[in-house]
Amino acid sequence: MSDKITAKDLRKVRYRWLFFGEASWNYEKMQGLGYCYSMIPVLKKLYPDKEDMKVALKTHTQFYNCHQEFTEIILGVDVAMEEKNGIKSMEAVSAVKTGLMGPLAGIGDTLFGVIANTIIFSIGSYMALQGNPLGILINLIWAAFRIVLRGWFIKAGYREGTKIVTSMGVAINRITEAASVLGLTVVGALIPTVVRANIPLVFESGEVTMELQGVIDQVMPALIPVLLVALVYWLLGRKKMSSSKAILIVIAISLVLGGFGILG
Amino acid sequence: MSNNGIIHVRIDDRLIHGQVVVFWCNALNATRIMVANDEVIANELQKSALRLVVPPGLSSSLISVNQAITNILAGKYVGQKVILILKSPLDAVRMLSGGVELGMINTGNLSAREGTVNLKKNINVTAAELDAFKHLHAAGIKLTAKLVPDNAEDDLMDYINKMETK
Amino acid sequence: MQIALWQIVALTLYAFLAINDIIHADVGLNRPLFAGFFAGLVMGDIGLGLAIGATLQLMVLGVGTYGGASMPDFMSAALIGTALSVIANEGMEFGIGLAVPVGMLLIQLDVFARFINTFIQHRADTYAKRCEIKKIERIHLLGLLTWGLSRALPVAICLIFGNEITQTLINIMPEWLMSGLKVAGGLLPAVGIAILLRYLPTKKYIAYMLLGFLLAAYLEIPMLGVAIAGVAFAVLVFERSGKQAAASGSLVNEGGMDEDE
Repeated sequence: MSDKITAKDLRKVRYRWLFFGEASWNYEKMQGLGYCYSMIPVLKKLYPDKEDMKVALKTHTQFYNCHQEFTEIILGVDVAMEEKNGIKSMEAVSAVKTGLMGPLAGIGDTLFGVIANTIIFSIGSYMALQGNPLGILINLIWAAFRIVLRGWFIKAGYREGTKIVTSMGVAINRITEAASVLGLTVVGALIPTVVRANIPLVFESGEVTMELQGVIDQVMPALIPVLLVALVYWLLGRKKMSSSKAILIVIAISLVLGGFGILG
Repeated sequence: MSNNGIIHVRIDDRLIHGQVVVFWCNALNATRIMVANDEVIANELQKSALRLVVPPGLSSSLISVNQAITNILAGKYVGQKVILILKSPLDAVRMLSGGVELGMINTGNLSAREGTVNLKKNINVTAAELDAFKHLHAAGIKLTAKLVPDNAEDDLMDYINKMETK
Repeated sequence: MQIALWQIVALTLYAFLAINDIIHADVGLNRPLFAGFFAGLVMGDIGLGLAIGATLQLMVLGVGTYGGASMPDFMSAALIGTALSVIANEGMEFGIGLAVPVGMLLIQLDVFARFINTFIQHRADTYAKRCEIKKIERIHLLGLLTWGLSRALPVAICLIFGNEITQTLINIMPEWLMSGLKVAGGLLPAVGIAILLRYLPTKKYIAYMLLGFLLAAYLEIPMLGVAIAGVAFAVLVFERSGKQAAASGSLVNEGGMDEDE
């Protein structure tokens, strides 16, 4: 590999993507233009010829969509490929972008989007409901880590090229599985702690007063939250149901039961 | 839906990505993801990338369209829950002609390319793809356009008709 | 109370920055939890902001705009809900009652912003054909404005008319509605959890979810403690999968990674 592209160039690409990559997100090309914008410093260096540049711009304004934090991998691989073979690599570059954007999106959305955020914001929301803003700090630390990781991604992509996909191989699957386990454990703990459903009904018979909630707690603590989660989970599996409808249904139930003093 | 094991057919030109693994696999309790596409299986990089993203515990099949037809007709997936992903409606027509029973086809994403018309937010079709959809519709297959399970059960033909009467 | 100009400016600016954060570096500004905290800080009631932010956050745990799918804008809703609650001198139920429908309605603005950017795309395509690089760069950055305004505008409008809006709401909201909303605030996190359980491999790892529940509900172990237990489980699972990978020499897809070739 020649030394046309410097570490500084790679940094320019990285920071363009990090701070401005998705500014022009639209339904037609999604992150396409942003990807092109990020590559421009490298394109300017590699393609002084105007006709070459036009071809490069055309390739890079094509449709592109991936998890934003894994795009650095593709950017790195892309820069390496173009540095090596110049304008002749355009078709291969296009194929690599197209081929990798889907899978890397799948990994990024699952691992960072769903699992990591679940863990961090479950803990954070739990604390916040107790008046403690520590969750925010925890997320900031995680965010700092991710920003550093992205810097590593672009360098790794540049260094390894397409081999990086096979090196990620088994590790990703194992990490995803382990992280899912952690996520589910934390979510299990969320149910009795952040779902608050209290039945304030009291039964009086002569001199005996019995608080209904107390009886229910004897059966199982947080029984009502569990039943509620199970109910909504089941509802979401029904046809014609959506998250929005589920939210409205729960609000309706709250208004009715709250209004009648059954819950409160 | 027939009982050949295929519980959901999705047309998506990014094949397996976030929406598929986050929303659809779990929502449908899939046991296997199948990508039936001729170019993909010829490309080692694509294949290893796709293997990467199959959720832990799910089986995967990365095969050519013809191989998929052969396997499905041979009853290889009976009793399983397979999400079949195709890159284009043209492949769906091939499978149909090959004798595979496809009860429904959902279209997720078809990106904007040269010569495509926009049907819906994420769906852009070429003339050939449009014809393919019509062919599938005429064969009695239910065509939907649901990006994620949460969306309404949009009928793809509504969007096609809307575009054509413009 | 009456909302002050500096508060309106601070919250509007926050909204503008927050949306541009989540699509880029994502330090967390666009999360309802952060937004609630910031709004609480600015309006002088951090506890309220945290409560509203956390409740909204729990409704979108793990939810994201993956592949361009839509989701409610509970960031703007947290700002608006918290601010108006403080203005109205009401509790968190008022904020939630406002924030949930507002957040769901704001989905349309998100869709709209993404559509508007198509104009940017078309211009950029023209510039690309003519090799006008500087213009490409400039028009791309214009998108920051579309994104920012899609959140800043509704927030600004709701805050500028904050006093009037809260006055109207207080007048028309009956008592039973308020107590109903209080209940809703406690029940709505269940929706977020249920939604999330549909994204996670729940059936497969239900044992761990049960363990987490056990630790929290029966042993009353605080969340961080449960998280540590969760990490322990994760490590065990990770080591087990390592042994499986070493034994079979390939990926850990228990169902078989057969390629059918």
